[in-house]
Amino acid sequence: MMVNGIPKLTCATFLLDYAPGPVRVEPMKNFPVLRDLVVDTSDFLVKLTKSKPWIIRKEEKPIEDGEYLQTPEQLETYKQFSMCINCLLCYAACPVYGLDPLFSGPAAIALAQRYNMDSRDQGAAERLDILSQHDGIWGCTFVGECTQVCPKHVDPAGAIQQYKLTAATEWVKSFVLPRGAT
Amino acid sequence: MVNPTEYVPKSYHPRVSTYWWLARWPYLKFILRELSSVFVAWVVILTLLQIRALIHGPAAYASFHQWLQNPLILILNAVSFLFVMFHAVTWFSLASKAMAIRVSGKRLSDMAITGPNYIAWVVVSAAITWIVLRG
Repeated sequence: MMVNGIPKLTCATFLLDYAPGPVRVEPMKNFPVLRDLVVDTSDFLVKLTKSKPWIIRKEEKPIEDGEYLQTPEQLETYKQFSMCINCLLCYAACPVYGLDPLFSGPAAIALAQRYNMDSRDQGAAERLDILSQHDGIWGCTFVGECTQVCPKHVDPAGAIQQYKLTAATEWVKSFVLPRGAT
Repeated sequence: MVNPTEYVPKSYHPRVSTYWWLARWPYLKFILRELSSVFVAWVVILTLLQIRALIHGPAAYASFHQWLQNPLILILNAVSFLFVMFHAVTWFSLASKAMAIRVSGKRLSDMAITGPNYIAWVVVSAAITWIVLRG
C-alpha cells in the first residue's frame, strides 16, 4: 500500500515511525482499485508469465544423471534477483508503468534476469525476444525508484540496465558475427 | 462464448496526474536529469561554434568572445554548467547500476566503478585547465 505517498509493505511498517502523524494510507498506485485498499494485480501476473520466469532447458538430462549442480559463485550471480517476493511495490513506484500500462515493469524483468543468470537455464534467447521489445526493457527510463522501495533489495532497476546492455551486445553481435554464431 | 461463471470485477482506474513528477523529490530529480540532456546538447553546440570561430581567424574568434559576454548567454551558460555537472554526477552514479562486473566471482562495489569515473573526470579537467591557463 501507499503510506504517506510511498509504496510500503504495511505488514512491516510501524506507526511509531510516523508518530505523531497524520498517516495517509492508500491503495497501491498504478493498479486498478477493486475496493478500499484492494487492487487488481492481474496485469502483473500476465506480464510475469510472458517473461518466462522458470528454468528453460533445450534438452532435459535423464533423472538418473542426477541434479544440475551449481557452485556458490554461480548461485551468487542471480541470488539477489531471486529474493523478489512479488509485492509489486516496484510497480507502484514506477511512473513509467503508471503512464504506460503496456510496460512489462520492474519485477517481471528482474525475474527474467534472475533465470537468465542461472547457470542451469538455457532460455535467455527466448526471453530476450520478448523483453527486448519496446514495452520490455527499453520502456524503462531508469527513474530508479523501484530499487529504492524494494523491501528485499532486489535492485530491479539494475537488472533492467544490465539486461539492456546484454540486449545491445546481442544486437551488435547479430550484425558482426556470421548467422547462427550468436 | 463467454463463460457465464467468469467474474469480472468492476474497478476504479485513477488517472496519473500530469504533474506526477512534482509529487516527490526523486521524480523531480529524474525529470531534471532528463532535462539536463538539453543543456548538454547546448554545450556541444557552443563548442562547435567556438571551433568554427577559431577556424575563421582572430577577428571571428574575438567576435565570438564578444557574443559570449551577452548577459543572456552568460545566464544560459551558468545554468548549463550546473545542469552539465548534475548530468555527469547522475551519469556516474548510474554507471555502477548498469555494469555488474565480477572479479573472482564477487561483484565489484559501486565505488569501484564510480571511483575511476570521478578520477578520470578530475584528471581530464585538470589537464584542460592547465592547457588553458598556460596561455
